[in-house]
Amino acid sequence: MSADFPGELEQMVLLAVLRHEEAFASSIIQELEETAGRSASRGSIYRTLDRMEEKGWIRHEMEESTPDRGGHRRRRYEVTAEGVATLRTSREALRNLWDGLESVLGDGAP
Amino acid sequence: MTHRPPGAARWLLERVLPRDTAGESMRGDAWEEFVRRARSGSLHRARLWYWRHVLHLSLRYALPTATGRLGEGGRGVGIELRRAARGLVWAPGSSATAVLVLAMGIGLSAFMFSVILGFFHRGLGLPEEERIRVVEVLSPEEGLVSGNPGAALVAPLMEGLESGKVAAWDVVSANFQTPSRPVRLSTTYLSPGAFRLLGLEPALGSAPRREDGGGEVPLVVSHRAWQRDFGGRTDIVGLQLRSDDTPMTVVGVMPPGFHFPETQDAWTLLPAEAFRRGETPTGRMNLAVRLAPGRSVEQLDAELRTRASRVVADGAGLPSDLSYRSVSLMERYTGSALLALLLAMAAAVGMVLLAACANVANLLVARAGERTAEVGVRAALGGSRLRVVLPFLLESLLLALGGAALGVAMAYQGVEVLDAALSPELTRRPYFIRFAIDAPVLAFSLGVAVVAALLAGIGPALRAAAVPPASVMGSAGRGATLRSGRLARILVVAEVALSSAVLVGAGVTGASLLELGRVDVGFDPAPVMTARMALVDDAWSDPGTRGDLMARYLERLDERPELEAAALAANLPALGAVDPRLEVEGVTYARDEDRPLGSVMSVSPGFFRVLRRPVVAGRDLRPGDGLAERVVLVDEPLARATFPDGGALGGRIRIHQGEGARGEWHRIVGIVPDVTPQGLGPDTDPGGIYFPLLQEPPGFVSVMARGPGEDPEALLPAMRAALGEVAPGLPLYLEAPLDARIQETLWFYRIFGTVFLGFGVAALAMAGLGLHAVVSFSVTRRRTELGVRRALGADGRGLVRLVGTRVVREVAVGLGLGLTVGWLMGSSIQALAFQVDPRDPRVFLAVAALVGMVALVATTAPLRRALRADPVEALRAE
Repeated sequence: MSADFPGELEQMVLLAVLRHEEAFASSIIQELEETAGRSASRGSIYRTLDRMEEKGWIRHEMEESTPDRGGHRRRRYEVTAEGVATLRTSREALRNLWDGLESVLGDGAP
Repeated sequence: MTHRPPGAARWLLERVLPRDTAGESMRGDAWEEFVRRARSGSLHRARLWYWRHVLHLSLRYALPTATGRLGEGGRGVGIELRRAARGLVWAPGSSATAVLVLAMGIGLSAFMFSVILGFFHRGLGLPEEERIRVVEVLSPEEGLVSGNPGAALVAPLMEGLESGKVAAWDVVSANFQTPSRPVRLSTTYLSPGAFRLLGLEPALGSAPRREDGGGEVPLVVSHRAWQRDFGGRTDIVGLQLRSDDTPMTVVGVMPPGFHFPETQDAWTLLPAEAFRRGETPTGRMNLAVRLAPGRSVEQLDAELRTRASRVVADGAGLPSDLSYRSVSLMERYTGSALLALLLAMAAAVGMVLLAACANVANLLVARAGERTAEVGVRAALGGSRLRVVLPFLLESLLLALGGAALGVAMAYQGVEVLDAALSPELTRRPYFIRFAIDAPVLAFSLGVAVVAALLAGIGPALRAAAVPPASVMGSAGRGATLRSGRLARILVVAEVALSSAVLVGAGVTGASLLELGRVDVGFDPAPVMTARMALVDDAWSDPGTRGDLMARYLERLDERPELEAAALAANLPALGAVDPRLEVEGVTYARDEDRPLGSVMSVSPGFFRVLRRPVVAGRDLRPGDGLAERVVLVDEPLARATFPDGGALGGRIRIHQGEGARGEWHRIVGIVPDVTPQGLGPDTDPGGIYFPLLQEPPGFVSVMARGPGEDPEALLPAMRAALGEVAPGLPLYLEAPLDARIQETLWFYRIFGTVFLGFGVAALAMAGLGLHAVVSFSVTRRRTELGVRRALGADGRGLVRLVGTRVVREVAVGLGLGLTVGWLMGSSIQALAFQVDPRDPRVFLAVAALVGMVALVATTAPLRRALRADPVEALRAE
């Protein structure tokens, strides 16, 4: 397993996928906008999803089309065990870095 | 209701995205989002979103694949290219403006290049044509004997005529008896080996072989003549016919559209001996050789010079400065008359292109201002100068390529229209002049696009590179520190100047078109049908025979119930005539110039009945006039010019034939209305003098007729039939309504005038767009300042003056420069000016007014924004 830390957008996308039982590209984008206040272009979300899939953090399954998709099937994403582990490592590292800085930054750990 | 994304965008997406499940999913997502947006908002906005999204995905997926193949450097450029493209896609308004502006510039350039290529460079369509050299005779004493010299001068070049090493030809019209009716075809008479040397290869049948000597003379006809005059009959090859008294056999039909050397419809052989003795139909000839493999033009020219000096040394009475040179077929058959005009048009197009570049440069400068921070960061991070400059150049390159694609599409349409407008029937243009958007034109357009990209991009790019990073970092968030002011101002002045100069040309041609619209030839030519006949063969060499035929033809025409009136004339009204000086009996003239000019017409009785312009005073011509007493008609202008005190009727007049010579006096028996014998040329029209046709029956004569109806073409069968009764086998040719014949003299002004007017419209649009962009930018940039002024109590008028003064100054300077250039261009636009002075002050005033108006319209919206500048907004920005 690589010691890669997820990038900022990667982390957000991973979390957004985890928060949904059925995560599709459109629901991920919506989640990012609504929960995190982060608007990313669709193109960069696709790129991020592809990259994380290559790293083994997420995987997808093809689902049948719905009426509004012009007959195209869609990908449903899930976070893999590796992806969850990566998130944990990342949170651990960040927590260590935050330690002791409460006086400067005010309370509220990540 | 179900919504579907736009088809073209879907098609594009289908091609850019990978064909795997990822691609499928993305396509579906886009579809879904489109439907969602269409349902919740407007369908139009949803479509717009879909297009942007597709273009965005294209940049992300298609470009990297393409540039990735170029290796690491390519990938770097690819990233920059993508960045540039993204910038353009997300600022669609100004990008579309820039593409449109460049499309006009590049499109007009492509169009003009295609026209020039069409006139001068497409070749005659012969195999290995570049190796065919036409020999020309040069003799400063005699002037250049262009390409068609007399036999004596070219005798030394005739070696090899019999063996087919030298080709000779002469062109003249000849009468042919086809099985259905006689026709007159422009014919090329070739030496026996010329077919092979030149490579003339019939599509049907075969070229005449040299052995076809004795017996019947072989004839090859054009595809057009085959269809038109022989009804496209399949047994054309082998058909026997006569040309005057010579029996001929059709041996072949040329491919469609082939009319070597210019507009010819028939090709036949003339014995080498005839060329050698100079006994060609016109007494002149063209000579050509084909360069042997390995031989160069220089070698040929050297040999020609040696030969010339040898014959001169031998004496034989040839001019001592005689020399020969060789030219290509294209050089031989394209005149330089049009060149000046085409170059003037090319110059105008060049100016439009430059104005377009200035326009886009301005836009990029404005954008560079918005990107000051980015530039500063790049420079501060140690980005090389190239890295700083590259985005600007790539951006302008992308815009130029977009402009080129659109421009070429526009040029394609334009060329199609021009090709149809300049129909061979109307203009009698040689067959090798044809207009098309082909590979050379495309390559040229691409080159122009790259140059335009550099022209438009280099200024803003270098300016950006010259900015010290520290100066922009501090004020990054706050708009322009790249000082674009002066460059933008210079560009606006240049744009207005270039546009005004082109507009002067367009104004002159526009005024000419107006003049054309109200020309009045003094009669209604529409219902008059005309045709011409040639009485030039041996059978008609006696004037008496010709006169007799004309008299009988007139009688038969009069008997035809279909014709209301008919007449014969040496030349048609409004189509030009010779205009010698005249003298009136009893008047003495101190100088030649004192004698009045007169347009000499030679007409039969009935000429004015056909035109429906009755005689004003006295009588019309009568049959038999000109045989006993010499009589003549003059028109009203000439009557006034020759008899200023009245009394023209009954007076005597004659053509001045120079000192010593004495023409015969003619008594004026009638005064007729003015029917502008000289037609609609740019020159003033001297009055007309009408001699009886039969007094001196000419070799070529036109027949004109009018029927009770409005359709002139319907009269043709009667005109042909009447001639057939008195001279079977004699063809009518140039069969056309009089109106069409008059229009033929005007097509040049009409078509090129319209083209030039188009240039003017493009130039005007360019000036308007440029001004609008610059003023908008300037208002945006000075928003804070304007707001503060407002807050401090400046009134609207003050603000308008603040922004407007500079615009007015720039427009005025540009206009002044442009009008000066327009004035200087006056002589080159002369060719297109129809009864308009190219330096007519009214044109210049109109251009100034028009530019002023466009400037006003283009700056109104931004100025309004300046007025609305909100003090609170401005201060908040601080």
